[in-house]
Amino acid sequence: METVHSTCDQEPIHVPGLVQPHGFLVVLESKSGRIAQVTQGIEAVAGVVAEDLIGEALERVLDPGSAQKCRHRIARPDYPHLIDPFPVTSLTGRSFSAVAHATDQADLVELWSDDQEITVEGVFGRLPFAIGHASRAASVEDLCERAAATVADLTGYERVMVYRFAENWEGEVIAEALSGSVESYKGQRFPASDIPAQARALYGRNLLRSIPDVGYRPLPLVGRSPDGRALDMTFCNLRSVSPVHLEYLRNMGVAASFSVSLVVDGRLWGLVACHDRVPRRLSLATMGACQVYAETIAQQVLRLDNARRSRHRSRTGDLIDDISVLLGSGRSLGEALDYTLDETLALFGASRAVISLDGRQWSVDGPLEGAPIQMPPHQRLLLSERLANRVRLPTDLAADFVGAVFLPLSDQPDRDFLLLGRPETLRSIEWAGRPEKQPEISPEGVLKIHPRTSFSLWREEVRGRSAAFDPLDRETAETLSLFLAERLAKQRRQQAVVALEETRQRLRDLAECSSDWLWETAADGTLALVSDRITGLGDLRPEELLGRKLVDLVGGGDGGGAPGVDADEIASAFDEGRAFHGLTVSLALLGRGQWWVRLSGVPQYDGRGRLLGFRGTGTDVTPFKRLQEERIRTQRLEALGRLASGIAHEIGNVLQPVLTMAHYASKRLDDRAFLEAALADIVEGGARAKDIVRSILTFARQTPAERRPLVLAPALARSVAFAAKGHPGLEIITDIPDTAREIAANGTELSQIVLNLIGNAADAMGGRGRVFVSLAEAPDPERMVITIRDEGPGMTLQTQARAFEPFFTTKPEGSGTGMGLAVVHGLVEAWGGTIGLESAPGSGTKFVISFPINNP
Amino acid sequence: MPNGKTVLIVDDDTNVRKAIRLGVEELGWAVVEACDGEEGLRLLRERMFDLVVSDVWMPKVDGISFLKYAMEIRPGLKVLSVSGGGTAPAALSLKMTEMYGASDILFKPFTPNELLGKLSALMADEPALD
Repeated sequence: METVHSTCDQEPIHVPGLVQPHGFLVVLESKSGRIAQVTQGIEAVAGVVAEDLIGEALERVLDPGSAQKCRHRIARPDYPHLIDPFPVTSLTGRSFSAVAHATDQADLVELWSDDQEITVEGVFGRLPFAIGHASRAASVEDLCERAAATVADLTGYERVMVYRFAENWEGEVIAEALSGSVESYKGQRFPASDIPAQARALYGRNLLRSIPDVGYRPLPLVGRSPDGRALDMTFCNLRSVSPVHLEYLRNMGVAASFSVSLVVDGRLWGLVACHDRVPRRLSLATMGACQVYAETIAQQVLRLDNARRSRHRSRTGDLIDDISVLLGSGRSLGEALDYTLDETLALFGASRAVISLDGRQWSVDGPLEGAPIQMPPHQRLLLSERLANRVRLPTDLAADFVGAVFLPLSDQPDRDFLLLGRPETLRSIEWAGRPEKQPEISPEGVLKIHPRTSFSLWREEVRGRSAAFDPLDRETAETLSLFLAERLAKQRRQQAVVALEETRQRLRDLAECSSDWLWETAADGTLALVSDRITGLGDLRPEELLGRKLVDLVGGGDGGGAPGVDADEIASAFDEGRAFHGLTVSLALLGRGQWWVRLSGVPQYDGRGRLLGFRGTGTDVTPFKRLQEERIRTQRLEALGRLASGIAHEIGNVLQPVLTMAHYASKRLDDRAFLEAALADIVEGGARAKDIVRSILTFARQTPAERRPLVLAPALARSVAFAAKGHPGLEIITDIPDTAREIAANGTELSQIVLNLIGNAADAMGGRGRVFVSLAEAPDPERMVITIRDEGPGMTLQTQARAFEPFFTTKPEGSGTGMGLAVVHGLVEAWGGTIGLESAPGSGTKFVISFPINNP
Repeated sequence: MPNGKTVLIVDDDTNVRKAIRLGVEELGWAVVEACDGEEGLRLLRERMFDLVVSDVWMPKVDGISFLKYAMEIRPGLKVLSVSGGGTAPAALSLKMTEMYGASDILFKPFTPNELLGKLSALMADEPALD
């Protein structure tokens, strides 16, 4: 088939080198006006054989006046396809109607035998009514019926058809005027191959084509064209047509054929085709009248088509307006589409729609029950009469979406789309004969073209297709798709902005309600954002902190206080870009004093893993810290109180001999021996009292928790000795080697630790029992370890787990604060030490305290 | 013995024992010393005393336990408790006398006159044991 088509398409029909015999063609060389080519047989009118006319002037054929008219016409700038016949007379006295036109190649003069008595007035006199009627036609169908009748009237042909080309160049007879018993072709389809491409091109340029007698014998041209190439006969109405076409016409039983093209907006829209079963010649004047009329029809087609487009565009505009109004009143695009669905369906002649937005698909009667429609991810706008060729549809939708318009609504067309379905249209196409040509190979091996021979009606049933879409449907779909996509994008931008604002407001509210303050740093750790809640810290304003490094605020500062045990942890978290949680540090806040703050933070990274900064929260734990310090002080006072009891007992004892011996010495002044003994007792008591007082002062010194190098062994021994005084029922067994190793600590606090642990041991053992205190180097040579062990009842695991909790106590109510071990724990940790507990019910309790030694 | 009265002194501190002995001897009474509560209780079981002067804070058997056992051994025994503790004196005094049956309490450090006054007062309403 392909071979046939292309072969037929390539036939050079505009340069046949032959003319039809119902007139004569004279070809003049443009510059000289001399005859270059002439129709064979012209001697009948010229009196001279064709060969003898070559190189001669036109006056050798026509009388001088006629020749002059021809030259005038040729010289006139003109539209060569417009017929403008004028009468001429040959040298032999025969009258002709002539038409003349110039091409780049040559000047052509056609002489048509004027043997028909058709006056120009007769022909053109009918046109005003016909044209007036055409310009009032309400539809293309109406117009074409009228056109067929008018052309039949003008030409006298027995079958006049208006033949319209489809997009694919198939032809369909849409209107027809018949006379007599001639067979009707109305409604029939003709395959595109029936009028091949070069024929269509020629129809588009020269609107007229006349074959008065299909059985004619073509006449060759004598002479050579001025440029030596085959003569271009595009605008020559005597041009001989393709023998294939003649065979085609004969096969149809047609003896005469005339057609005039309908060119609408530059495109070959259709033909008014005239057939007759007997030869029928038309005058040039009649052909000219048909041409004028056909151009009017074409203009009216354009008018009606424009009107249809305009109506359609207006309906599209109305739909867009309606959707805009809905969107403007706060409806979502999905809702707007739902409300206007009937309009949309009507606009596309569709019967059902599926809307897919944000991953949800629904149709007008609710969510899709079956599987969702899976569109290809990058599907563009699509109008298909047979959607199943493109998309696999769920079975429940297949019947309603045989054909469909697919409107992508975003750059994710598989998620956001509108699909408008047309049902199957069962059609039968009536072909004027089976649409195929059989190629035939000639004996010489040349592929020869033959037209089809059968024109008997052949009905093709078309299934699995919807009604066809036309360019207007596509235009509407494009307009609507662009509009909807633009509005959806806008709506989503707005939603994103609203969502962002909601998120911001939520965060603002949370920040407002929270007792914490929020902060953000840049990559270099400088504070870029601090929430208002920071004002809780000494009325500090957030902007005062901006640009300062958070880690620089930790510890130190103007307060000179301890940075807290977590300071190093925070610094390394910032250095390493790690998250940190619940680290407590003291912040020196720009002359607003020292504040204890619990900080949590997470690092922020960009897509390439670069640290952007940190953000997190801060909680003011200063009141808690102060309470804790208060507790420690209270503890210290309690310990002092207990110690004071012991001290008072001691002092009472040492003061006793002073009072007693002084009394008796004064009474026994003559007893020298007694006096000496008494004085010795008094001196000794005074000395012991002095020692005791010094010890009290050492213990009770109220200095802040200042850490200094402390030689641990003697300090521990001293602390144990103090503790022992408060617990006379205890037997304290020490193993404290004489070592000069130092730790960074505070003697008072060490005493507090020891007092607490020994006090606990005493309480656990009912005030009497053995306590072992030892000092040793740890396995780690950088540390020292103090062990304090009792032989009391020991602790259960539950008690061990809570032992260091503040206010946790196993003692009877009123006997303990529950702060002892908590204080010990806090102090040990403050020194960078650790405290561990080993115990079991019945096995006593052992505390192991490890301190880093002080390396100067 | 000059007046026939014997006083047991129980205290771990030599200086305190000595101070009490000097006062008791000034009244002309006999003295027996014990350096802790255990020894004191043993002596109480062995013989009779007119008065016991005992420390409240002592090793082995503390003053309160000593007082309790002493009363079991010799109901009605007169005991002068000597305290050097830091607890409020009035409260301790009440506690020792009302709860544990001490006859009186003396706080350290005391002057010889305070001691003599307490000893004399305790013994004035009692006939001496023969």
